[in-house]
Amino acid sequence: MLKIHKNYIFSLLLILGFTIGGCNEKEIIPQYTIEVPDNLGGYLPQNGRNKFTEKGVLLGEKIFFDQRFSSNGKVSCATCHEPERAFTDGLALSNLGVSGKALNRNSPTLANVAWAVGLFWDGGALNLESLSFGPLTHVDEMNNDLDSLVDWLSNDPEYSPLFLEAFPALGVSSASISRALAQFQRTLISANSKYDQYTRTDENIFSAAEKRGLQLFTQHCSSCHETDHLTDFDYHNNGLDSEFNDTSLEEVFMGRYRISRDERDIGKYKTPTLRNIALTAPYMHDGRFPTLESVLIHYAKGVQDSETLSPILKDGEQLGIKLSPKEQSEIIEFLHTLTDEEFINNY
Amino acid sequence: MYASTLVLALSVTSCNDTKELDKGTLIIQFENLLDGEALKFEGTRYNRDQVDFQIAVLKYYISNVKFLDETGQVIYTEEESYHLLEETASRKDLAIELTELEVQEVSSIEFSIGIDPEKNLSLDNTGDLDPSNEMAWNWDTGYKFLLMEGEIFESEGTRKGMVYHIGGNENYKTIKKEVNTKIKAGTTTTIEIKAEVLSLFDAPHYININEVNVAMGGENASKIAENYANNFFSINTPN
Repeated sequence: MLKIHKNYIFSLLLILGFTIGGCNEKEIIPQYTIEVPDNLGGYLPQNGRNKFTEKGVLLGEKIFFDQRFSSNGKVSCATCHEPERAFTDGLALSNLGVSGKALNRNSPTLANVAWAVGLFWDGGALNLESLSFGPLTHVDEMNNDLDSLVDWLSNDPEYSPLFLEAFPALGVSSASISRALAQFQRTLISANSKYDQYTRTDENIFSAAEKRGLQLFTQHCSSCHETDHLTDFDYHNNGLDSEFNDTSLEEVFMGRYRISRDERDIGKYKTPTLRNIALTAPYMHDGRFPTLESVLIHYAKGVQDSETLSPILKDGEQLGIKLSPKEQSEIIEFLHTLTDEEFINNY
Repeated sequence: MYASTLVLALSVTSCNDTKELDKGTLIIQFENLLDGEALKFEGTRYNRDQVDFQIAVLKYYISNVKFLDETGQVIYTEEESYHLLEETASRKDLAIELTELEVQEVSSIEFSIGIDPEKNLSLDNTGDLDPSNEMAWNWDTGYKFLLMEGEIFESEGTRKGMVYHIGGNENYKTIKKEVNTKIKAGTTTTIEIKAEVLSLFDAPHYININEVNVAMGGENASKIAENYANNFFSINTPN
């Protein structure tokens, strides 16, 4: 069933509706916008060549949850991006795809993906419109063939009119499948966590430990996990490994280097948002840390040196961030305030 | 004022009615060669660098086709000019047809191999750029400009893949060829362009296919791109 996020606190505004067009303008589609709180910048970014329409977003949502988009009819986007886990799958390396074979990277959250500058852990996808073809066709993900998808959808009495309404010029095409998915994913906004309430309206809702946690976080973590997106949208080597010699699988183990071909990017991965981080275990691009405790221990005691290690994690001979066990647990208290129940219950 | 606008509108309409009679068509017909002979696919083994090899598929994008006059001025630019040329044992799609052309002398043509940086930024495209053509990368954003796949037989019973996926904005190359032909009214003119596979590995960079049996980005991909910019294409004398 389609539903337009009924619990959504931000109003879904039907805007002015109609683009001014000449006589040849076929796409007269009501566009809408979603209000975004000021601490997230006040507006929702979108792609100029794929602007939101209500029909586009609803079609994208339907596709996102539809297992028939996989070759065996059992895998949807939501299989690895489950709403209740803030659109992750709880696995270090997902084996939920058609082949059952584990992937090489951890399934990332889709919370606030509209703001992401690069997608995938290495920023390989420049926009959501270009990203979907990977998961739809990869043998270890949905393993489908774009031509057969388009054939099926063109002949499907339910989908075919939905595509024509949402994308009159494109109709059913691989481009419109991807555009619909992109529109829907950009509406996945998490902005009502306890932290958001604290920062926007009520400073009294934080406990003493949460406040100390926030203070420590601001001091030690926020240079990369910048508030209030909780990411700097950049790429860093956070000291997980000391060597990056494995060039196999099209250099998937070399971080951002495989995209930029710049040796200074070897071992660098995208700073993930920490929104809903308590729900998105395990952690890191390969899911190597099962708990937040193990992540904090890594930063305190486990950082490995290498040529591209972030300078923030190195002070002379001293590696990592100096954090006592008590400070680590206070930071974790704070991280739990980033959980947004409303966000995960919307779908 | 109103009257003159009306007249203009009418004359545009009347032009449209007669357009087919005084326009011409140009076909740019590509032919893939290996060592000067028509390229053959799986089942035919070639030899180079002390190994046998065979080719399964050759695909490349030809884009942004333009005509130039004898002074080098651009006299025609095809819009949305992206053509995927493809050849396998069972499929041959190697012609670019340009219609509704002004009658004029064409001194040379210009085209690029690959996809221009502007279009290479996003994959939600249709037609020859539709990702269903399997020329888009699924972990990076952009198109493979040239794809050649096959097999190398090091010795009897030992085989390995031959995979060249060349893309990336730095490998987008523009080529200009003298053609000296004429677009004639109501007529189809054909230009034949030969594409010699061995020249991908020959000059200015000699590439040993047994040592470099895979190139997907990086230095070797750029060398192949410089080779395709150099001497991949040659023009037959137009008819």
